[in-house]
Amino acid sequence: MQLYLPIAELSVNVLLMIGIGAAIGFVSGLLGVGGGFLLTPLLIFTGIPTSVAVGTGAAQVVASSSSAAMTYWRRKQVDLKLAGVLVAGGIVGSAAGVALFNLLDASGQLDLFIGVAYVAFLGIVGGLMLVESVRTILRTRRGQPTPLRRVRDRTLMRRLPWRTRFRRSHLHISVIPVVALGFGVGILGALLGVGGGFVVVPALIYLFRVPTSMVIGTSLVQILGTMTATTILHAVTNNSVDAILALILMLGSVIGAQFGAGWAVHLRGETLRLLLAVLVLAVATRFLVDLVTPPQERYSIEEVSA
Amino acid sequence: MRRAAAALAIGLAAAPVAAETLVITLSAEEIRIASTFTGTTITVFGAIEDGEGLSGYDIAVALEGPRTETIVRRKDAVVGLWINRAEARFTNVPEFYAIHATAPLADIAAREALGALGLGVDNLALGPTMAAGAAATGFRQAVLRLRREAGRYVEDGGAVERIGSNLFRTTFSLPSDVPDGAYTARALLFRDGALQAEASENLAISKTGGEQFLFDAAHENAWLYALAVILMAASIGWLGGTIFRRD
Repeated sequence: MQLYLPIAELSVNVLLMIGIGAAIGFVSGLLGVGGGFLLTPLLIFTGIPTSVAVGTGAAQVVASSSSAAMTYWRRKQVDLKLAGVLVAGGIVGSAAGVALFNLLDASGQLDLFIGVAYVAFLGIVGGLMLVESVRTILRTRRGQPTPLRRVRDRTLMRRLPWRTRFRRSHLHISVIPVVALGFGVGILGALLGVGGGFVVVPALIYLFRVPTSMVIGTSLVQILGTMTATTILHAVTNNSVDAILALILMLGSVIGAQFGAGWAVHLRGETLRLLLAVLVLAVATRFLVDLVTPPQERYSIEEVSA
Repeated sequence: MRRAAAALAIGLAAAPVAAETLVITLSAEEIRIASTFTGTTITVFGAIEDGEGLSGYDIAVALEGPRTETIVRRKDAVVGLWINRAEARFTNVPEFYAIHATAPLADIAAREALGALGLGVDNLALGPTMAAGAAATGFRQAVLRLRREAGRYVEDGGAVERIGSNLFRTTFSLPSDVPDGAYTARALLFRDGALQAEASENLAISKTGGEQFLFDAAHENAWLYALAVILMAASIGWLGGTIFRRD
């Protein structure tokens, strides 16, 4: 069943797109991640123009993160002040990211940049997760306890000015690194269409020592805020958000997420992380292969819209 | 088709009596692209009036879509990565071009004549470009090749069918991704390689209802469109979170 997408300006198979949405939802329900880092690449691989894939991917992240954020909000597991500071940095980062994105698009280097960025980003994240999950699995087999992480030296955090109290998280830290984290994730989201949860969550835990109960909810609210700004900025500056495609993907993912969450209870944490690592590395490899293999067609054409 | 034939009869009756007058009409004046559009066809009917009939004439019918500025980019290997390194802009590239004829174009007229008329995919004028020399030729060839492969440029030297002694007909296939805009159907009559007469008709291809509305909204009311998308995302997220509430 073909459906015409008004913004992407091409026809796609509706069932394929619902399938992609459901798969992303399943993975995000199973592994507790947003899924943007898989959605945008999958859309690009199926022939959706890169700019539409990123803009629409951002809109899909808004839907999935709002759904999950609600749950944590109800449980009072959100540090709204911390999330607000992160979003403030995120909006500025998002604006910078979208500006860079549009510059790259105009110069014809967007696909290259996105490809290289995904290879680097997913390669590092996937590699780290792979190593960590395999180590944990091996240790568990040998019956050794998982060693506790070394406490990081946080003197720098203490020395920086503008220290603020985040009551919910029992923290009294400088806002500078918090804003910087939000800013970085904002850039990442605008360029790659990802929420950045798997950068924010470890950062909140290991860098800022936010209590574990507050981490995921706070990160979700931060993603929701930042990706809302990103979606709006993409839609306004380069008209790349396809509402029809977004709707199909959102419906698919809402349903898929339920199945994923149901499955998650049967699997161990490190097994899930190993699965995620393999998935992430597979996507990175695909981008790398596309970058280094001689293309069948060296030429490409683009119509300049009036 | 019957309506088209009737229109043609009126056209024939009204046409002034002169040597080699060509008239054409289309099976539709407007094509609307809806969300379920999977491609369609458009038929061009034509007739000649000069008493002798069509025998001895060659006929070419071209259907041309809107022209836009187009960038062609070429990838080159740079330290192992394939990167867009060179580009050329052509100012006036047809988004769609199909030409049908009673015989291969090369048999209808000399290359120079076809070139002067801009007839045939290889003779299409793409407008001025900054690129020069061999590079420009390479980019030009790339546009023609890519558009041919995409089914946007078509040349068929056997698709114009003669009906009886005065009428001819040809049917163009429009693919599912046919660009919208103003099209022109142009018929040309040749005898012994020389152009004798020509006629043209306009065709409008437009997106309908929902598709056009969303496209316009995204481009002209971008802020409103963006807020609507966010509202949709938040509602679906909220619905999902409410329906499948797990705690």
